[in-house]
Amino acid sequence: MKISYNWLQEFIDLDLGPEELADKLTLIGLEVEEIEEYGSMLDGVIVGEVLETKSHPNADRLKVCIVDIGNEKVQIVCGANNVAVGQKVPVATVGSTLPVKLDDGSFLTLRKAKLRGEESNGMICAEDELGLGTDHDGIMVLDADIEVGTPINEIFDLYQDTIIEIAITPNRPDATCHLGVARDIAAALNLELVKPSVYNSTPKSLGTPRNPKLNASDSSPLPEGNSLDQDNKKFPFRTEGVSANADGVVENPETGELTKIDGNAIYKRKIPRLPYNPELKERAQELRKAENLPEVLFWNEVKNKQFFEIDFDRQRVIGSYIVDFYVKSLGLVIEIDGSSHDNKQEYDAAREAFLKELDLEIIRYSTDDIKKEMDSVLVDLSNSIVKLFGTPRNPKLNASDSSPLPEGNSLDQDNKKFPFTTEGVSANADGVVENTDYSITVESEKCHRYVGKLVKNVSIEDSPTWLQNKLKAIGLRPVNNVVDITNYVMYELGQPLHAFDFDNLNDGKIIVKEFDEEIEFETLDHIKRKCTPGTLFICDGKGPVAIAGVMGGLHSEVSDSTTNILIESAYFDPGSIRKTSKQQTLQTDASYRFERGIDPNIQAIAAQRTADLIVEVCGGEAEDGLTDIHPIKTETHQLTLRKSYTNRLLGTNLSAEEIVNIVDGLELEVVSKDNDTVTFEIPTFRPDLEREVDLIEEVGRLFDYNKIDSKNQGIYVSTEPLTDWEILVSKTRDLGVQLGFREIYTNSLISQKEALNFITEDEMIETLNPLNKDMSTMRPSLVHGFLKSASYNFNRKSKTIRFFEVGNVFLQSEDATYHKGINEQTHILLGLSGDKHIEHWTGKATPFTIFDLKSEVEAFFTKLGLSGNLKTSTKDESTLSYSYKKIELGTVKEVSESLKEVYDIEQDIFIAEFSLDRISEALTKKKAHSFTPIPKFPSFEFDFAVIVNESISAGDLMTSIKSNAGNTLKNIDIFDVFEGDSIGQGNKSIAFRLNFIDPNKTLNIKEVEPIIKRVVKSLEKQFSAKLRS
Amino acid sequence: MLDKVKALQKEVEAFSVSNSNELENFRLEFLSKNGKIQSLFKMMGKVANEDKATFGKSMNDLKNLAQDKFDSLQNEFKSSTTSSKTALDDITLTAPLSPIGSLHPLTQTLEEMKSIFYRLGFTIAHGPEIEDDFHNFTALNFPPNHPARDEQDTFFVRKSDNPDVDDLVLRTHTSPVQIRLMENQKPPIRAIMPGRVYRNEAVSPKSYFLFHQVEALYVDENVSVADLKDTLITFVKLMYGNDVKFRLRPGFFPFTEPSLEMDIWWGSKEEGKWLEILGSGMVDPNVFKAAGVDPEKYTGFAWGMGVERIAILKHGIDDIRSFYDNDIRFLEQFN
Repeated sequence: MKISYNWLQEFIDLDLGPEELADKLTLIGLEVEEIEEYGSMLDGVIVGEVLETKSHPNADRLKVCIVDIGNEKVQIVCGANNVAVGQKVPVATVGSTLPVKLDDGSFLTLRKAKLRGEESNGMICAEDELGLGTDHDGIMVLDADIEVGTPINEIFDLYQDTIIEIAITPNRPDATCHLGVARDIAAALNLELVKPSVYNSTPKSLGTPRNPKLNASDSSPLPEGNSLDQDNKKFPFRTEGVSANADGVVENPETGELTKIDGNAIYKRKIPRLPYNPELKERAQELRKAENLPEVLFWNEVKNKQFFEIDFDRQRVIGSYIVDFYVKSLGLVIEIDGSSHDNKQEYDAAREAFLKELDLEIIRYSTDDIKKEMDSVLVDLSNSIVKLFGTPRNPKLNASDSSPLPEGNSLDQDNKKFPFTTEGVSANADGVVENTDYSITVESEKCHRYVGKLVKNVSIEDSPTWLQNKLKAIGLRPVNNVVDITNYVMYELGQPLHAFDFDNLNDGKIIVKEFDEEIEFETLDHIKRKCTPGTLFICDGKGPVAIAGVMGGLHSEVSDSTTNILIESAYFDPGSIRKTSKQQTLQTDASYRFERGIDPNIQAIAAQRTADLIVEVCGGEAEDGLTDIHPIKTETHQLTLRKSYTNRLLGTNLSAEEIVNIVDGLELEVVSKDNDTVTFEIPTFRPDLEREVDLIEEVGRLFDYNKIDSKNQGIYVSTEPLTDWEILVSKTRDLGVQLGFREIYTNSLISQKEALNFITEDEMIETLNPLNKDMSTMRPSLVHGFLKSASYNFNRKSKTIRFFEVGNVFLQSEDATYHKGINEQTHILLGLSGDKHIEHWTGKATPFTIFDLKSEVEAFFTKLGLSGNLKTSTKDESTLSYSYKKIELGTVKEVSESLKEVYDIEQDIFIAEFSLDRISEALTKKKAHSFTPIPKFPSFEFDFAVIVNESISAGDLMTSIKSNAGNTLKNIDIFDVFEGDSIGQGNKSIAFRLNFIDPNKTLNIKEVEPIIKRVVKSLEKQFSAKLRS
Repeated sequence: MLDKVKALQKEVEAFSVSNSNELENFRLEFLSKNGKIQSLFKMMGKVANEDKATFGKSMNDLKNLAQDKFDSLQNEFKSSTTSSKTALDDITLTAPLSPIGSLHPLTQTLEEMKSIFYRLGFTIAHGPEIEDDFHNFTALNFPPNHPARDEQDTFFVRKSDNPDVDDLVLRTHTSPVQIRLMENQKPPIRAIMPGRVYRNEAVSPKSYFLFHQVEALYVDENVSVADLKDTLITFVKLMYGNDVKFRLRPGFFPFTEPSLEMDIWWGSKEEGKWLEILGSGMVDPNVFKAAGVDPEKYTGFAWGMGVERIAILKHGIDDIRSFYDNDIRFLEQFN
């Protein structure tokens, strides 16, 4: 969320600059993501006059200008087409900084430069370069009458701020507004928090009921001095809001004293709503931009309330006219008459009559007076104001407005039976229910509270500059004054607000309800949305007018023609809003706050605050009191904190007193306290503080975790061994590397189609909500990932693939591992494809064969100590199964042609895939390794070959040899395989080399020969083998 | 007689040899059976007995001299003979490539982290990637309507309306292994839990729908934030060097309270910035209760961090997807 540094200063008196403040925010848990400058005061940008221009000798598009900037004449190279002699232009002098962002995020600072060889001392600026607009077509040309050397910030109304973007964690809904952030800072820095006050409020209904401290601060009007101080800081809500005299009596802000001129009190007037022609709005904006010099000069004297604290507006639309200057609090029009008015006598007469009719006072000055006799003009103006407004006027309006909000105007809610309604009722100070213009009914438990407040006769216009600036600075687009104020109060207090065009609410009714059927509804953003049953709506007498807490509807939107406003300030169930927001994939500023859980007790204050500001900015009259339907009330609760547990958990040594001091400022009221415990009352704006640990977190974060003493250096000795599993997984990876394979990490979500290459549909495990259909199924094997990676690399000109992967694979199976029906195992894959030796001068390219992989696999099992009892069996022509003491470990295989095609791979592919879970099991059956002495006697080697039918596998032959050779046979290998006519069609010859060792003696042919005979005899018998001579 | 030896010695020394033919002549002249040195040896019988020793020694010296001269010349000619060498004897020719094995960069980062944790007295534990709702969410104090439980954030494998059948998800973090560990082992527990986790997130250079985490858990009778701090600081010093600049700040996780995040300063003093590297906190009492550990008796800390994130920082990798493409040109940069 974007937080304005200026805005925060309205609640706390900060000594820290924006950067230091950002660090502090981060350290108390409001993590700052970005700090950004907004706007600029354009220091160093002044008015210059172009004295001469000539073409740049080295660049067609550039001009070399001599510009008078008052104390000197400087040469500036300018690229704009429209630059011309005699123009008054804004000049950014050397050393000034413009609000133009450079690539590195910093702002452009002007330096002396040479542009194509010509010296340039500064820059003649376009509108956008000054942040004054978006125009970049040419330089900005100023009124010819403005004096050279005048700082630009004296001509334009500029605004500067620093915006701090913070990430709000879900547990801190209280920090989604400026007041909440200010509260945290105040607590951390021990500052006083000054809350905005609402003038039309009473403590009992507005404060948090059981928190005396809150009540006290909310109800006491601001001291006079304070209020005046604030005036200088341009706090719009205080300057015309509450002020109190020494006795604490609240005066009516709309008719009280506005200011003093030379000791004479000037009294406000309440002017009824002024008629307004919305078509003139744009015209007024244009006029404001294109003011003539006298108007600018006069504006410079009165803007920013510098003239006796009086707030002047310029180019204000009243009816069908646009007046030059207007003081709303006095109902005073000031017209500067120049030539433009002279030719329109009739028009002016009608205009004058119209304004008089509205009870407005008019003071006129001529353009000549303004230009030549400004001092006299101002003296005359002050005298006229004393004369006109030195005594209170509009006495009839004084009485009713300051009456406080009645207590208990919400209905009795003890028996929570929906609907709750105020059919045409509201209560006055005496608790007497009176008829009002509208009714509110809450029919759903998803609405805990609904406050409505009616403001009549408002003028919808653009917001005043201060309001626009504030909103724009935090990234909001100004819409109109009413909408802007609802946004303003939301960012101030954290309460989302909605303003309905009251006249478009059928039957003057508000009904909060949900529907059993799907509802189609068009929201403000012109999207027709289908809303599922159970979506909470705000309805009028006819039907839905807003999706509660998310977005309003088109029909009841505030428009230029709106005159009466119903303010909605409600509390909706966070879960309900979150659901709707998700369903509609629509997160608004309102839903963001509702779904996190706003303060359930701030609705009336926020409604009142909004009404105050609307009346102030948009005119009109707010209804007395408000309508408050509050079916589900949230009370504060108490939490007890143990000092001992706090210190034990934080590793601190804090006293109860220190703990209380640390959290002071969070508005946690201490209910009771002794040496070991403190009991706090938790305000309703902190729904996250539910348990003792939650409070301890508050202590920790405000104490600052960086300050907690830690001295053990985290050293700890564990006698707990690593698990066998961890050792196996680590060793497996190491072996992959030792064998010269590169480790890969592949995706464990694959497509159903891909999975079907390996398993049946019954074995598949699929995610119910896949990202897309290519990533829907849990991998049943590591083969897919290997093939994809091989294909990827072959496509990028790789010749050799030697990959391994260790990862989990998943099958639907009765043989469950962790969860019923699901078998999850860790596999290792070793894969080879492409060239074993690439084409090289040492030899031709040779592709991998399955024997290359078998050789690596044998090395792998040897290293794991499993080679001794490892058995292989042929599963099919191209698949060899490996097992250890009847535990199936996995297979080595050649990938089929059809599967190669799927992955678009031409090279032969060999893959070994084993289950580490099974290997782990096998390892438990392995006998402990013990050292065998080195044989003292040499081994005896014997070679022989047999001819067998080609269908007989070498593996079967060797199994037979092993079982017949006895225990002196230590090793067996094959050194020749031959097929040819010489041994007969359909036959093959396999030559074996047998290695015999006897630990006790040197073997000789006499001892080995009988063994060979036995072996051969059995081969002859089993396989019809013939000994080859 | 000694004079003859001396004369022959001079002859040997003076014999000029400039090619292998001449060397053969030298051999025939002096070293062959009938050569001059052998012939002189045969004179031994004529030497007076008292001179025999001296004669024998000088003859031996002479023989060695001749032999050495022959050997060194022979070597010289051998190595300088080009005619016997072929083009294949050029040692600047390229060697055939040996296969090189390597660990994936993520494994390398994980191994580095593991070795640090081993030094800090942690063991290691594992759990399944398909996890039930209880271990992944409920036991970790996620409220029923927490956004993480939404289909938009989490992959579901099984969803059931039957309250007795737990939903199954692809674990969204390694924290469920904490629960499994505490269910099966009495404190003290001091272990790390690395593994693959899944989030329902669109794929981009910055995010991938699966990644790897390492979780650390320490539960004992008096574990405090101060202990957590100790361990965190020791870890980052071992991982990033003794002079690493770091800070702790409050964070938020459902399963820890209080929660802390740690940032380290990344880059130069002027140009650098704070980077979040891990989340941590004190195990929430609700988590202890769910796992059957008494929260009044035991306290503990947990922390978690992303392996990808740390590897990306370490190597300056700009696209997280490159970890899963397995391009050899990528992998071979991490030998």
